[in-house]
Formats: sequence, C-alpha cells, structure tokens
Amino acid sequence: MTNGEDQKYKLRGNIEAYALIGMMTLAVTFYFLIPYQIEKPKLLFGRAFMDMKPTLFPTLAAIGMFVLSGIALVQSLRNPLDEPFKGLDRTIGIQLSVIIVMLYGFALTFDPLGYWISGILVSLALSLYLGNRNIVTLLILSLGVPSFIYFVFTKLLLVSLPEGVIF
Amino acid sequence: MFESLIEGFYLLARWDTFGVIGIGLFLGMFVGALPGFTTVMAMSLILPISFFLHPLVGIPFLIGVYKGGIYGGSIPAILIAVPGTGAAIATTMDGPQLAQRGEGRKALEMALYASVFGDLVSDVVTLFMIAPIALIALLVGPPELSVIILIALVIIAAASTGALIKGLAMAFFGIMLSMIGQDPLGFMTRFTFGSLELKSGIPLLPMMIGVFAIPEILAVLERLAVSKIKGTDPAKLSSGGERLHFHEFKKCFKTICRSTLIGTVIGALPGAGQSVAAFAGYAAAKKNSSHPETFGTGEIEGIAAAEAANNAVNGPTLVPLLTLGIPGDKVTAILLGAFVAHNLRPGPQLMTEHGPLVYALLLAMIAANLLFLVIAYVSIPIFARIVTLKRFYLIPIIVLTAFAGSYVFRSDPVDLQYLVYFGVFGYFARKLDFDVVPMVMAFILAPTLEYTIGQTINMADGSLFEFMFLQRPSAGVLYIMLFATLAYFGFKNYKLNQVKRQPASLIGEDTP
Repeated sequence: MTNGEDQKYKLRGNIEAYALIGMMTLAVTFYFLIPYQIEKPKLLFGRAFMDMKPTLFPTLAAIGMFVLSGIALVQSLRNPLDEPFKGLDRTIGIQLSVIIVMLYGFALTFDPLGYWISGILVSLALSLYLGNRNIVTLLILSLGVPSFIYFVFTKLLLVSLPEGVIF
Repeated sequence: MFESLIEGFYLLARWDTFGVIGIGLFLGMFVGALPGFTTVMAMSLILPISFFLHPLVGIPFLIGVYKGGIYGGSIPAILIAVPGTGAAIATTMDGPQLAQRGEGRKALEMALYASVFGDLVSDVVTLFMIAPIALIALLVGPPELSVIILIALVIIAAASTGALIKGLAMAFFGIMLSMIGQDPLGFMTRFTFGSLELKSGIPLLPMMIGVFAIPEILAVLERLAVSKIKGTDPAKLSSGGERLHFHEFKKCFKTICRSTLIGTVIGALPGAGQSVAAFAGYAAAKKNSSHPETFGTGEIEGIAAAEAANNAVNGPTLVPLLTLGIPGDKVTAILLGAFVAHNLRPGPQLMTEHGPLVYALLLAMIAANLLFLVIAYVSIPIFARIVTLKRFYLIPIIVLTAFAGSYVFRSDPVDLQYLVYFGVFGYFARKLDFDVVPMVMAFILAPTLEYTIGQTINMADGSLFEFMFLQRPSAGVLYIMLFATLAYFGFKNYKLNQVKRQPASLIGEDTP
C-alpha cells in the first residue's frame, strides 16, 4: 500500500480513478441508451430470426464494464498508480499538445488541400518544431517524403489519395 | 495435408513474395533498431499497403517486418543498453557488457544466429502442427467457440500491462465500441445516433494505427524532450571487435535448443508474447548453467538464450489465429486485419478452404528466416549506425504514412479524425496503465462472440444450461475452464495489487 492506514482511499489527484469514473459513467449512459438506440428486430411470420434479444449483448457489455470499472476504481483508490505523468512538466505537455494540434490540423486539411500539399506543410512544421534547422534535410523531408508516399500509393498500389488543389 | 503442402510450394514460387519479404525484413530491422519505435507500429503502418497487394505478397510483407523487427530490437539492446523493442529487454542484461569489452560484433552475431535458429525451428514445428490442430478445431461449434473467445480475452487481459480488472474493463470497452453500427445477427442499426457515418461502425484500421502508432510517436517525443531537459545521452558502444567463432555457437547450442522449445510453447499461448519467452529462456539458461554467476556480466549464452526464445514465439503465435481465428497478441491482431482484408477469415474453416495458401504463407515464413540470415549478416554494421539517428527525420515519415494508410481503405477523411482521437486516447491509456490490446482484441472478436452466443441460444432452444452441460459437454468443460482461468488470474492479480504500482514505461514492456 502506498498510503498509510490513516489515508485508506485517495481520490484527489488520482487521475486513474477519474478515468475509471468516466468509464463507469459511459457504461451507465450506454445502458440507458439501449432502449432508444437499438432498432426493433425484424419479424418473419410474427417471429424474430434469432432467439437472442438484440438488447441482451449490449446490456451484458454495459453491466460488465460498469462492474469491472467499479472494482478497478476501488483498487485504484486503495492503491493509486504511482505518478502516471512523472517527468511530464509544463513544457513537455505544451510540446505534446502542439504536436497533437498539428496532427489534427493535418486530418482536417488532408481532403481540402490534398495529400501532397498538406503533407508538405505538416512534415515541414513537424521537422522545424522538433529542431531540424538543416535546410537540405528540411527540403528533402518536406518535399521528398510526401511525393514518395503519394507515388507509392497512387502509382504502385493504384489507390487514390486526395488530389486537392494541385493535381 | 501433403497435397496442400506441395500446392503451397508451387504457390510460393513467385519472385515478388521474396522481394517484399526482403524489403519487410530490412524495414523491420530498421524500425526495431530505433529505440522507441516498435515492430507493432511498423506493422500497423504497413497493414493498409498490404491490403492492395496479393495475399501471398501483402501478408509475407508484414511477416518480414515482424521477423526483422524482433531481431532489430536486439541491436540497440546490445550496443547502447536500450531495447529497441520490448522483446529485447532480456538481451540488455548481457549485451552492453559484451559491447563494452569490445565484443559487440560477436554479441550481435550470436543474437542473429540464435534468433534465426529459434525462429526457423518454431516455424517448422508450426508447419507440421497446424493441420492436426485445424482438424480438432473443425469440431468446435458456436457454443465452444464463444467460450474459447472469452477464455482468450481473459488471458489477453491478464497478460496486459495493467491489472487484470482494468484489462477486462478495456475489453468490455472494446465490445461496446464494436456495437456501434450494425449487429451481426439481424443487421439492425444500433448506437448510430442517426448518423450515416456511424452506420458502418468504427473503422478498425484507423483505430489500430491510432492506438499502436500515434502513442509511440508521442512517447518518443516525450522522451526526446525529457532527455533534452536532463541532458542525457546514451553512451555509444562498439559494434566492432572479434567475430563469433563456431565453437562458441556450439557451446551455446544446448541453451539455444532449450530456449527454442520454451519460446515455441509460450508462442502458442495467447497473450504471453516475446518478452515473457525471452525472460523464461534466460532464466532457464541461468538455472541450468554451470556458471550462473557470469549471467548479467556479459555472458554470451545469455544473449543466445533470450534471442532464441523471443524469436521462437513468431511461428506458434499464428496457431490460435489460423485455427480458431483468435489473435493472441498485437502482432497477430494486425495479421488478422490483413487476412480479413483479403477475404480470408481465419478460423476452423480456413485450412479446408484455403489450405495451400496457408501452407504457402507458413513456407514463406521459413524462407524469410533463411533470407534474413543473409540480409542481417550483411547489414549489421549499417543498423548499428542508425541506432542514434535523429528522430525528427523519422517522425514526419511515420505521420505521413499513418495518415495515408488510414485514409486509403475507405477514402473517408473522417477516418483521419478517428486516427487522431484513438492516438490521443492510446497515449493517455498507456500513461494511466490501461492496456489497449484487450480493447482492440475485443473490438475484433466481439461480432463473432455475439454471433456465436446468438447461435448457441438458438441451438439450446430455451434450455441453455441443460444444452451446455448435457448436450455439449465440451462447451461445459470449457466454461469450467473459463471460470478456473478467471479465478487463477484474479487471485494472482490480487497478490500483485498488494505491491506499489508503477506506471507503464515509455517503451511498452510487452511491445514487440
């Protein structure tokens, strides 16, 4: 046990416990959505195709997740995970957030701008942000890599990538 | 069986299969040699490419990456004491000391020969084991299959990095995610909230690339930032020095054989994986050695033991996948995706419907080992240099490949948003010690589970208990096994929960 007998359950600052409470809430929401979000079974001569009710499996899944998350929550409160974000200070947190925003931006511009242009932009941004200051490698990476991947997918594998504004 | 085997030989006689195996081995070694980038990540990036190739080209491509990656992980483990993959952790116990003594080349060669031997023997065992097991699997009906899936999920949850209960909760989360879309029994729409995009369900490919590849990128960035702040840099050690002599290999041969056997047995069990095999092989070698005190101080036998064992897992890990359709780990989950994309549904019928193709794939695995021996021997010095390659060269390549791969399967830009969501989810899940493997496995297996449960209820005709225990005693026995498995792992988990819990490391210890 990480805590003494005087502090048996620990919720404050226990992010794992918050995540488990989130999972329990999700399971409860899922359970109460079952009557509204599952289509009624099709009947043939007044009888369903299968004997199993369409709500049975989702109900079992919701109950299972709720109970297991609950048990895990009790375990977490009694024996919390030791500093899950150890070493992650504010600077690193900001850096990771910027990378995630870049990835999301790439996802949003992928179709309207096209793979090639959005690919050039994101590889340039990522390389620069990660500390590459060498013009030659920057150019090779940001122009060469999207072009090569575009070529492999569209010419060798014969599948389409969004053409966007250039092609 | 023999007709299928011979047909498999003929099917395999194509140059492009060997060409992609070679590329895959090279790519796998490259990724494996880079600490932080795992084989699973490389396979998940290659997976969409394999969809558009012939099954005898696309699947061997993935197998090549897998095999190359497992060995590649031992290169940084030996040279800079940082395992390239989780499978190589046991190799760090003796490798760096050998490199420090100027015997880096010898250690790398021993790792190569032990890896190829372990892998080759286990592949041959798999080749001859698969047909009898497939015959037994043919007797498995919906009631038995549903319980086997449940047992597999329990074992996978128990083998996950977090606690058993959290692993099971993640498995249930995966089941819930799989319910979005249509049910597999009556094809009725559920949990779509009126959205047309959700009607076809959550796509597997962006989910897999998201939870396996994106968190790796974020973890590498995090480690980069941490090392920059703390000013740490792993010491570079020598990959040169004396070569391995035949008498040294001969001296370790008994250990290699023992580790191969251990790896082969562990490989056939779902969820156990390379890391467990490597440590078990290492421990057995130390226990049986006349000089156990030298283990951990640069003992070449330690490298042979760990590497033979972790590579011997590669072949048998396919047995539960091919015969029952149950992936035992992340790698086989990715391979399952490749099989399904090629309309090859792994399970009891696969051997009867596509026997020659399955044999051709198993023969391709054997051929990959021989090819690997040549490629790795020649390229060891090259990969020894890339161990410390700057990450900002690689991360854009990985991101661009991940996005292109996630898009091409359905050509739907929404899939890219799924990719990012699952990537961020996977990163936080890893931080909080929630293993995503049970979630992905459950997501893949849930439709089959639901379908087989539905069929079992139909077959039971209202009296489920009587049906299971009197008419299908095999299913009854399997249910008892399920509860015994749960009780065993539950008790083990309870004991483990008494000690202080640590978060998962940056390189997932179970990650090949």
